[in-house]
Amino acid sequence: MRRRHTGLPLLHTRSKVPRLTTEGATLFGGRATRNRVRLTPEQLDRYIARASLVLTEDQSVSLDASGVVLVDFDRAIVGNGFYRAADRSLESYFPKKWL
Amino acid sequence: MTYFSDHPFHRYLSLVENPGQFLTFVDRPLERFVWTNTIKTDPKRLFQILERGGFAPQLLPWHPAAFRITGHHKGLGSHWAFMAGFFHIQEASSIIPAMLMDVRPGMRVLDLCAAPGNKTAQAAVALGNRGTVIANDAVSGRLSALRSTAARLGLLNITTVCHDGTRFPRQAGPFDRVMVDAPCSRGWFPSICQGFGSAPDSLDGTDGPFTRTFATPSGSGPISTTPGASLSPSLSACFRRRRQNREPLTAGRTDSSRNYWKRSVGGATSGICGNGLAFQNRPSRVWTGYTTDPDTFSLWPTTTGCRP
Repeated sequence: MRRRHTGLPLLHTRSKVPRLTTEGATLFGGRATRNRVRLTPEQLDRYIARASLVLTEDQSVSLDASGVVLVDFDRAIVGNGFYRAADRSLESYFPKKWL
Repeated sequence: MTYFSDHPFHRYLSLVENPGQFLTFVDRPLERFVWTNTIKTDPKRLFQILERGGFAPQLLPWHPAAFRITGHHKGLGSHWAFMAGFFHIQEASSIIPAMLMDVRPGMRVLDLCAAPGNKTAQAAVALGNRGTVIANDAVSGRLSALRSTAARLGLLNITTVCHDGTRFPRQAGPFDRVMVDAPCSRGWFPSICQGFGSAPDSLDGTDGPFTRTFATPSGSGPISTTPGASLSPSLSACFRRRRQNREPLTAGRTDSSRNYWKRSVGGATSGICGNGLAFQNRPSRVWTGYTTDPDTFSLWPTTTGCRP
């Protein structure tokens, strides 16, 4: 058989540090207890539109440091993003092709 | 008939008893239906999410995890729960074939004409991300839509392959279920069937129901009719046992899809099966050069979910 694709990519291995793909994050991220940020509906709209956003102090208190975090809305992981502790900003990693 | 000759669905008119009623139906705007991705959430939670979004979901009487959207449907495809893969949008009559396959975790399933992959995804979800779905399509470019759907829904058990469906390689091994939703609208359906007819051993070892479905023209099905009101076969699911000597599929089974078989194998020619789907036995007909089996049944969902 001429196989095209099997399964899903769950981990980006070519980035500076390995990180979950959005597929991997939504499948397995629900079990995470740290580095998980809960968004408001307005923030979620910006996240899905791939716009960066600024987290509140409360939202960023549970985040260890700058780095990749899981994005939570309504107790569901919708993807991941890059958190910068210096300005509490979150860069959206939501996949362009899903829009 | 001349009056309808310009209608895009005029080729189906020879199949229906009331062409005017059929065309009136297919000209109506489509309703929206969604099914729950049970790998990521459950129907109860999805119902709450959709209700909060103003979509006014209504559980389908013939499916435990699918909803009719009775409110507005603006933004349904860009809703966060859709993006997170909690549900998939699929026309009601298209939900039926994969449902009737009675796929269970661990099975090996072949979807011979898979793109765009909605029924493939449904089968993969029914497998609970276990087992295997081989998703084949003759055109490789059409498989990209399937990959996007699988990625969003988090389906790990799909392998895509690209072969001419009439010459699917026997090296693929046996399958528990085979679904052929051939694009009949392009005249492919007869050639697929002839392909299997001329090479009956091409799926040798397959031990399961061989399911064929006519493609639904533009996804329009008689989904809002009451039982008996409209019998347009925009979705006709045809079933055939692979081996004549095998025990009927109904034996010892009590679930709703098997009830359908009990009724049909038991000699009933029309009615409502246990899960609220209406069925009618159709006499053998010639359509687009292909003669349908005399044991062909037309199936269509009911709005009321009448139970026998």
